[in-house]
Amino acid sequence: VQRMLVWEAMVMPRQKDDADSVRLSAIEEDILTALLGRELYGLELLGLMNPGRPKELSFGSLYPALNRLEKKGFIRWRWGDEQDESGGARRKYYQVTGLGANTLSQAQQYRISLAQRILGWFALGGI
Amino acid sequence: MNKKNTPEKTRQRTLAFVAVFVGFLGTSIFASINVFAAHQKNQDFSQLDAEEKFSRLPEYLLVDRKLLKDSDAIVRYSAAEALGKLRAKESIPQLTELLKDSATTVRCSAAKALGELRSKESIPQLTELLKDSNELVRFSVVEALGELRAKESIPQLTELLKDSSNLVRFLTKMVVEELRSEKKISRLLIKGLDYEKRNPIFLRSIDEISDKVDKFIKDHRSMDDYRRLENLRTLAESDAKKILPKLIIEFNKSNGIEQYKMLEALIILDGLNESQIREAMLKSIKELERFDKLSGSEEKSLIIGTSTKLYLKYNQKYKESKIKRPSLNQSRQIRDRQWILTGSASAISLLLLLLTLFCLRQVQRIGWNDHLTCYFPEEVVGELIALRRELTQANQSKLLIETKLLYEIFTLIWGFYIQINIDNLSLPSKDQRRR
Repeated sequence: VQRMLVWEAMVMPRQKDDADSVRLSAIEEDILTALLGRELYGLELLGLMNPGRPKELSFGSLYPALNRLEKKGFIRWRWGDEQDESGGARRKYYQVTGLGANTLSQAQQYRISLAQRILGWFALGGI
Repeated sequence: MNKKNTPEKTRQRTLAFVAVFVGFLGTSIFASINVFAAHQKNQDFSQLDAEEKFSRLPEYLLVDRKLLKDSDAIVRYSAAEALGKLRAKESIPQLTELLKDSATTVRCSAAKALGELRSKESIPQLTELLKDSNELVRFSVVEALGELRAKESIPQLTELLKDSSNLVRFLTKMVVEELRSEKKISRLLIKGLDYEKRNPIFLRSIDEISDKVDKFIKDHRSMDDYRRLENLRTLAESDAKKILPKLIIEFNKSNGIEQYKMLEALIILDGLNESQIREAMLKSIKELERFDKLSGSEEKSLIIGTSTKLYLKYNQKYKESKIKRPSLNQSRQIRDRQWILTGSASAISLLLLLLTLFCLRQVQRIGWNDHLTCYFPEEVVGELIALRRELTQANQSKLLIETKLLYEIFTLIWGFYIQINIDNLSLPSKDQRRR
């Protein structure tokens, strides 16, 4: 309940401003889930997300999604230090922001409550 | 990159530059040869087949056969007449020269043709010719000036109202009136008077119906001249069509000059179908080809006249049937040759370019990751290089690695240049978010 209150205080006013930017697509939700509590770069993200995924992700779809998340303020990034592995080019390490984590948990909670409601509906239908 | 200039590299660089230079030189030489050859071939009729020659008949008569410069006056006369009917504007300079020809008939037909070609620039020369000693020449010139609507020659024309010849006086009066009042009737009247009288067979067919014609004229005395003539013409044509079957049988039996006269009558009466016209026109081209070997002037003149009429009829049929006529400005063979030349020139230059690139490969080696930095942000290049390294370490086949990377690069091009830009339209910018 406390987390919900905090979330409402943080996100709700924004949501009124631009409701579109708070909406999460499936791939965005997956990325946020993968990044939760971790700091990863693109290839690692793909390595984490692709196993068992019906349609494999490529950089071409990962980067636009990262761009959207970044613009909405759900993730942030920093430049990586090591350069020898990537042939002189630096890499970006992505992290979830507080806003991102909250939005994700809100979306997940909604899904759980939806499932519960559906189950209840089935139970009612069963009688 | 190693920027040291070893002798080997200098040699290769020189080789590359020589290749580029030779490539440029070769291509430009090929191109100019091509253009020159095309121009030459366009004027050369010897390589065309009969149909193509026929499709360019005005040019063929003028440029290849040089009929306006023929030694035979009758040929010059028929050619000038034909070029006027064919609306061959390119013959205007030569026709203007023919106004000074020694033969009166040639002067006549040249003046008439210039009138038909609407050649305003030859009005001064024509006006000069009004003082010609021959009445037929004066008649034709007056007619041409009327056709050209040469108002500037009205003073000279008015002098001709006192001409010794009845015919010239009559026509001049009509033309001057027409030029002053801008009416068009008189010229149509002349056309009606001039109606294809040269063909004896056609005249014979008219004779057969002359009784009817006389009766018709008696019945229609009240009508004005022009309308009566037009109606007469239609009547003559419709009745003459009845003798067509007979004429076709005669035509198939006949040969030589007689056949040409029959053919002319058939063309006028529109008694030929398209394949017959085609056959006749191929035959007339064959005759034109061996023109120098023909002896009779009348035969030559008939051939020119017939082919002109065939050409006009053929074009008219094409127009009526609305079939798209094959493009005939350029001959098929010339086109083929041009394609071969252009094709070989471009193939050679492409080969030279590849050779150059092959040579330059050794001189300036740029890694593929340096190429990538031109198109993608740094972090993406880093990831791609890392991916490649990962795949190489996993002992994947080289083909697989390259395919995978190529796929990634293509999807990234889409993602970075199109999708992200579209997304950004609906996304808040950084400043807005921090507000």
